[in-house]
Amino acid sequence: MPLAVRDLEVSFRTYGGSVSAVRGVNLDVSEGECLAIVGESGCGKSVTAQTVMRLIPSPPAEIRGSVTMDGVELLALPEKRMKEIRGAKIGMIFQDPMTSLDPTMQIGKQIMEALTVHDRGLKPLAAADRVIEVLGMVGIPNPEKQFRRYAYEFSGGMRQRVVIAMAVICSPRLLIADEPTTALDVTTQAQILDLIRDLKTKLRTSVVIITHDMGVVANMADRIAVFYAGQVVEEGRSEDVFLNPSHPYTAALLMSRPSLDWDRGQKLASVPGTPPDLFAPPAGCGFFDRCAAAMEVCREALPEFFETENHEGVSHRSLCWLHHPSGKTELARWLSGGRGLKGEDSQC
Amino acid sequence: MARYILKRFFISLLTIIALVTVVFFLVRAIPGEPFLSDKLTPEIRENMLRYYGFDQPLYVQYLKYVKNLLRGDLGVSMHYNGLAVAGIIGDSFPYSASLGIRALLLACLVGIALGVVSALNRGRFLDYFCIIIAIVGVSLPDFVTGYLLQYVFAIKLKLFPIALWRGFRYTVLPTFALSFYTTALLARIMRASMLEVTGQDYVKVARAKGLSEFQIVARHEIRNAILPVITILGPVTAAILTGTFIIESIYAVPGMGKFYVSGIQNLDYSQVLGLTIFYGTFLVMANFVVDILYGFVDPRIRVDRRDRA
Ligand SMILES: Nc1ncnc2c1ncn2[C@@H]1O[C@H](COP(=O)(O)OP(=O)(O)OP(=O)(O)O)[C@@H](O)[C@H]1O
Ligand SMILES: [Mg+2]
Repeated sequence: MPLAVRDLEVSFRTYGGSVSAVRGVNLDVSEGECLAIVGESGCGKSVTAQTVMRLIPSPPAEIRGSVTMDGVELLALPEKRMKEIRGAKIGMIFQDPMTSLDPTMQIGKQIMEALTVHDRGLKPLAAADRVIEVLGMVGIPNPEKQFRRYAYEFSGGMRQRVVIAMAVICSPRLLIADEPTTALDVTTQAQILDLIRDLKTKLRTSVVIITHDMGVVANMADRIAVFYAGQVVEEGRSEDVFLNPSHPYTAALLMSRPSLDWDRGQKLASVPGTPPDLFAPPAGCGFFDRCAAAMEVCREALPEFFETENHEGVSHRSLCWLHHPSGKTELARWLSGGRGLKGEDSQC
Repeated sequence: MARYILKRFFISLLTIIALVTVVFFLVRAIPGEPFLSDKLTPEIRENMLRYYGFDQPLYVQYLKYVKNLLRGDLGVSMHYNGLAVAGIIGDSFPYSASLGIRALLLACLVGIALGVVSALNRGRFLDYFCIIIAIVGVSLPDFVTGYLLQYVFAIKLKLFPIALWRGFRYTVLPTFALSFYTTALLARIMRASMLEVTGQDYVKVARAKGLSEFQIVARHEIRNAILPVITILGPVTAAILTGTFIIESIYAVPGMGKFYVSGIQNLDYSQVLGLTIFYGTFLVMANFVVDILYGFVDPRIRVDRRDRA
């Protein structure tokens, strides 16, 4: 298994107290797989991704748990060895292409740097050739001419292609894309996603793609992990999570997206309420206050994972008491109510 | 880039023309008159005014001055009888320039280094140490620093000569005294700028590429953080230049400062005018060089709209 995250906890010490940004996350990404991490803003997606790369300075962050890549524990690796993994074994694409590139360095040189830092013996000419090849691969026209250009001479979409070139030039085993399309317009978004999917097949790399919009990853991800308040609340094959959301939060998230068969005049639902305060995480389920199907137990006890489906050996699991064997009536009521949101529920 | 340099050049030229004009009329607007000594009879005074051409209308004098200026003639000092202003500059400027350039280089090197060290050790002992140096440096006026260094290192410790300019050992104290303020200023700017750059996304990206901390600082952070420092190099050069007047007089350096002060005291029109125009032109050129330097470091500056399209 290329990447395995176990019981990952990350908290930040701040003046206002300690923020638990990630609270016991488990993730697996297998060879050539694409895992999508979905969740609203502030739920700990970026912190998780950057902890995998060891980009979060600690202190001030406090990190517990385990992150292994091909069996090697990354969290315990000396910085020198970790450096050899960053960029070479794990490539990362960041959210904002406008700020991801150094404004004072030619983009060709910036990409070349990612290559030569891991392969010191490489001759500059050979490295430049490889950069031009990769620039072409990520869909930048006339790559020879673009080598000497600077970031400000490119549009957002083109810059993101440059950033992607930087992340994949060493053919990493794992590519982490943290909201790679959030800052782009819709057409460009689709192109960039196509590109990532393309590269995934070409380079046979595993991909973790982070987004807050499930639609973005619908036909790209093999599996989806839904994040809420620093935890994974639901996980399963992409189609299972889409067609049969088993955590009320996932259901709410799906309902808050517009779709093509939406009726005119029908209101777009939004998830009512706000996520819990991570300075003082709740004793029970973090979604309790906003949940239409909340039960008494949800307030008091942290839910456990329950498997709701299993197709082709891939488990579909949900961190929700509804799926406890003794929650059958509540589950049935929630399902028959159309897995509704809190506001609608009170009307029936 | 060529167009950028050409544009900067013309702007500099215009500035110098404006400078000459404004300074010419301003100097004449200073209340008082040259040759106001009791020893001079009115006839002699008349003769002298005529000799220097002061009896003619101001605009005629101005045109004549500009005409001479174009040939490199800055006129004749009225105070140091018959000495050409250009000659005075030629004799004394090398000392001022040597002092100023030493101080500027020292300030840039030490200031930038202190700023970087400070930022990399943020919140630790070295950082506080640099901050204290910077605060002291910015708050002490040049003449205080000058006398202080002289007192401690020349009079008490006898490590360096008290004054004069006769070899490297003589240059140490005046150079330090003159550069202290600028060093502190640059250190502060560099520190703030480094801290800002450290938080930028492209630094995180560089780290994600597998670069070491040293490589990140050397290849990405310093290069970006230095931009604000380059921007203020123009004004800083001006500050150092004016600082030379004071430091030169404390350490008895035979530079231009003395002539400037005497020129103003004696209302020696041609001397004040000549030195001011010389200084001004020098500063404009320094700014021109800084602009070009900036264009080299920051690619966004050197392109104009047409190239970009
Ligand atoms: N350096 C830090 N110091 C303190 N708190 C932090 C720090 N970095 C992140 N956090 C907190 O951790 C939580 C998770 O942040 P994170 O950036 O992972 O969210 P996210 O899921 O990526 O959201 P978004 O969709 O907005 O990018 C947030 O509540 C944030 O305030
Ligand atoms: Mg994020």
